[in-house]
Amino acid sequence: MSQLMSELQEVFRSVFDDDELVITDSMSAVDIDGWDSMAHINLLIALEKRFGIRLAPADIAAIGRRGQTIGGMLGIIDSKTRPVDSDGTGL
Amino acid sequence: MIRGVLRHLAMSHGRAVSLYKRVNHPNGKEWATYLARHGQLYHLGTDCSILPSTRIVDPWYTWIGNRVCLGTCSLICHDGSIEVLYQRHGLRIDRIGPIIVEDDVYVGENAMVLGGTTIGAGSIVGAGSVLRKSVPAGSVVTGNPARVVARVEDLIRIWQAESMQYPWADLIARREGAFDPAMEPELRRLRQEYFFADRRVTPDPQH
Repeated sequence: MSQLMSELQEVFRSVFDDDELVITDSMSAVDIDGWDSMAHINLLIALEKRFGIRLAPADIAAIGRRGQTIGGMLGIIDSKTRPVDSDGTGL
Repeated sequence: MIRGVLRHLAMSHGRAVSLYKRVNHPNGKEWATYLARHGQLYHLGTDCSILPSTRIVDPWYTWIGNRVCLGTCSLICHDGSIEVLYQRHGLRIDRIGPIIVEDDVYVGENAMVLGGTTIGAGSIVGAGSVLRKSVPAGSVVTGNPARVVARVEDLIRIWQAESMQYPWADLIARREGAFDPAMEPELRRLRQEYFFADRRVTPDPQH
């Protein structure tokens, strides 16, 4: 499990109040008990706090898209937290 | 004609109220107007919307601010268990507290607000919540017991972003208020197409 995934799992465990919760790339909202609309807001706020990021409207929409997986969410967070190189591309 | 008479009787004289509710089906705004005149609330502000199905059990101890919107929820200031404590133990106890609902609060369906609580201005109480203690202004609360799950400004930011992605976002951008009957048929069509895209009914070739 990558460092980012491990941190993401900690966020999920805190938001869903389940210390045993194990997340995988392919999981989505239907796979986690209690992932309702309010938990979703909680999750987004917790992600922002944990990773020190500010999700843009497009990110919020992408994370909230039906069927969005944790892997997809991870990709969005990764793109927001990746250090920006001198050329500004982050690549 | 009959509706006008019933409305007049209810609004002006507080009479035939049950019939008025059954026949006229007053909306939240109209019912709040009735309650402001005859509901015996300690305070009920202006521009509120309170459904006729809302239970305000102890209006004398209920203070409601301006622009408050109550779904079919219950506001109960007293604890009914003291009756049993009196009957079984002979105890003479009073258990009651005020409910204060500050300006611009929304309380969702089947929520229960108990005595001794203040809902801070601009807060949103989610459906089915049981509110046993006060919440600060601008809170989003859900659950039993209700707890603060977000700030309203976060909720707004997230919901706005999600709303913009709907295929009917342009209609919402032009809509005044939360409901426009003229816009509703088109909204309903677009929503059904989106929600049930993978569940379209196709004609059965056997029939």
